Amino acid sequence: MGKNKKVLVIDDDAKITRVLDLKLRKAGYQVIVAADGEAGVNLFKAQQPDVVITDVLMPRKEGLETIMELRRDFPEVKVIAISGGGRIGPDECLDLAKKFGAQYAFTKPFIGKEILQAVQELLGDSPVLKKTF
Amino acid sequence: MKIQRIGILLLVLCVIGMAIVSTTLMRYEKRSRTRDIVNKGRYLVALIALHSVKDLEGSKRPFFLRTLHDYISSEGLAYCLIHDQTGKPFMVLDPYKLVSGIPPDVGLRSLHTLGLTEQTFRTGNSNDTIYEFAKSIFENGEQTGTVRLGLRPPPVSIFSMERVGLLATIAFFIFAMVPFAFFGIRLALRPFKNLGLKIENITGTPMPVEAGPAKGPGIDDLIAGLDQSLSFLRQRYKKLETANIESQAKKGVMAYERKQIARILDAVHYGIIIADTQDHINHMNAHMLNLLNKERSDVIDLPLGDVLEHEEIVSFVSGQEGVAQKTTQRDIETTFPAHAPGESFHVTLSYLDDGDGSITGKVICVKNITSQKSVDRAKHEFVAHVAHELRAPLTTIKSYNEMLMDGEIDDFETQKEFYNTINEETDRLARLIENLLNMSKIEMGSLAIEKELVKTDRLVKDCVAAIEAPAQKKHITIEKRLPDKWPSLVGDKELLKVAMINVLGNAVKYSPDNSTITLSLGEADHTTTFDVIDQGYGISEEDLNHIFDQFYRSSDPHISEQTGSGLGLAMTSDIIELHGGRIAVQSTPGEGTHFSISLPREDYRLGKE
Repeated sequence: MGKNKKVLVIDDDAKITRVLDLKLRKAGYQVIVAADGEAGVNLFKAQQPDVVITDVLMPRKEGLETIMELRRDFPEVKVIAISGGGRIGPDECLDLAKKFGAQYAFTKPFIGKEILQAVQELLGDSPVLKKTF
Repeated sequence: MKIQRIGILLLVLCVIGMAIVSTTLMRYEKRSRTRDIVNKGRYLVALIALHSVKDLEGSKRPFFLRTLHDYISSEGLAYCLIHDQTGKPFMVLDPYKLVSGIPPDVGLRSLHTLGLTEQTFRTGNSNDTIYEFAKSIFENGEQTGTVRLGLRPPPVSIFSMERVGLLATIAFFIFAMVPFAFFGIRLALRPFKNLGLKIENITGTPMPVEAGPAKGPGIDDLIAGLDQSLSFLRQRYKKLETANIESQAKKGVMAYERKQIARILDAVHYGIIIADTQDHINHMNAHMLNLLNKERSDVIDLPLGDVLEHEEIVSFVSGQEGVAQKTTQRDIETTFPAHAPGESFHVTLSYLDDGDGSITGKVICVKNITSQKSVDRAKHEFVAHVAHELRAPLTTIKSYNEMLMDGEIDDFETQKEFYNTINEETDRLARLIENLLNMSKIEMGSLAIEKELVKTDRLVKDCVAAIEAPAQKKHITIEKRLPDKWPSLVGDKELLKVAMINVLGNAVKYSPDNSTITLSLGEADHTTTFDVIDQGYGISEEDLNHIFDQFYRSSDPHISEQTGSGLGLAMTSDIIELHGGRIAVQSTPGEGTHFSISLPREDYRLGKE
């Protein structure tokens, strides 16, 4: 399950990328990591991952902007948004993310298993998630 | 003057008039009768004297007697005496027995008088006036006798039949004049009456009239009343003068209070418009005038809509719904783009009433809420930022812990790494919460500073120890430049430690690997100074202006990629200010940053350990 499928994790917090990297690798996915939106878009273009997990609030390029750019260039991209909120709160952030094209959205602190299930669902590796957002 | 008095006066005048007329008539009548008697007497005595004594004593005697009797009965003849030269009477006609009463001197004078003699005398018995006419009788040129006739005028009566018509006519005219005179007097007295009424109006009291059941108002009453009224007027004038002084004083007080109220309204830091129920402006305070850039004289009594030129507010104020609900207060939020672009205003409408529930006016308050909205927005952002800062370590702790609990981490090194990360994030959370609490206490003024003698050597040692680990991780060298004698310091040791560690920690966090951080401690100008100089990425000029603001985070990637709450330097600045010191920063992007903390110096010194 998940062999050869690649997940791009974009977050400015190295500890978050570290734990998601480990979690997804344990599940059998290849994981590539970017510290901001700009690096994430470049990495996506270079390696064409199957799923993108992105923080919404980041330096250089906001998560929402990243999602928009990816959707513009790659309409079939599968995106999972995570957010700890910012000026407008996490729920509003994620609502916006959904409107911009994210399939799933999670509020920090998230549960690792739910992120993994979302990835599996998007990649057709598991049944439909019981709980989304 | 009362009408009855006028009537009585007129009647008295009528009687007097009648009396005067009657007396005049009586005198005229009396003169007329006397003249008539004299003429008769002259004629009669002359007629008799034409005859001789013989004729009178002889055949013509009866004729004379009869004729004389007729005169006695109808013409007032009192007596007739004819006597000779010796005084011997030979014809006496004396029905009233008056001859014997003729005074002797009268008779003698008559006897010795030639020609016609006239005399009057009063008889002793009846006290009547007798007109006597005497004439000598001559025969052949010789006096043979004397004729003496006494006539008595008949009693005079003005009410004789022939004068009734005249008297009636006179009486008619006199009485006919009464109503004319009455109304004439009333007309003449009307000004006095009007004067009395006016005095009554002025004094407010009835005209005083002398008491007495039968006495009406007269000139005396009017004068007395006028005098009394003038006295009333003087009293009233004094009262009015006193009232006027009081009124002037009250007016002055009211004017002062009015000005005071206007000054109070002008001192209020929001716009106030007072309008009547027709939305005409009664007052506008200085703040509102400034906002509209108008003079007070340009707005008073004008319709609100003409002055404000703001449809939203005008329709809001003129809405009848509020009037119906009377004391309902309503409010809207709006802007004045023409006068204060970009600013927000809160407009409140209240109603004035007269105490009985009737609306007498409106009060419109216009408050600039731009800064309040900014504060509200800042509060919201603060909460959102705090939540974000709390979520970050919580997310790490939760997700790391989840993997450990699920047994997904099987190698020992990774487990150790995860446990350390959880521990660091827990400390981060604790520091964040501590910083938040301290910030809150500082802002509320409730942070208690426990001042004590601070050993600066120990302070420096503790602070350096706190940053040694991360510094070593980045191979950063901490260079200490310390004095031979440690300066003394009085302050809150723990808070000062927090402040120092924040500055040193930032230096480590935002310096590249293998750089040097210099920490200097010294004394200058009665102050103890701490200087932290790094070789870090530096701070832009724009960021320097906000570096001590709460939650300010630079967009510089070197800074933003580091975890941070944006509270450290804000709190450090507050702590230093609480100690009476100051913190300054100089920075050059790409070269490094210099933080300098100055605290008031204490005289007490500790020896170097």
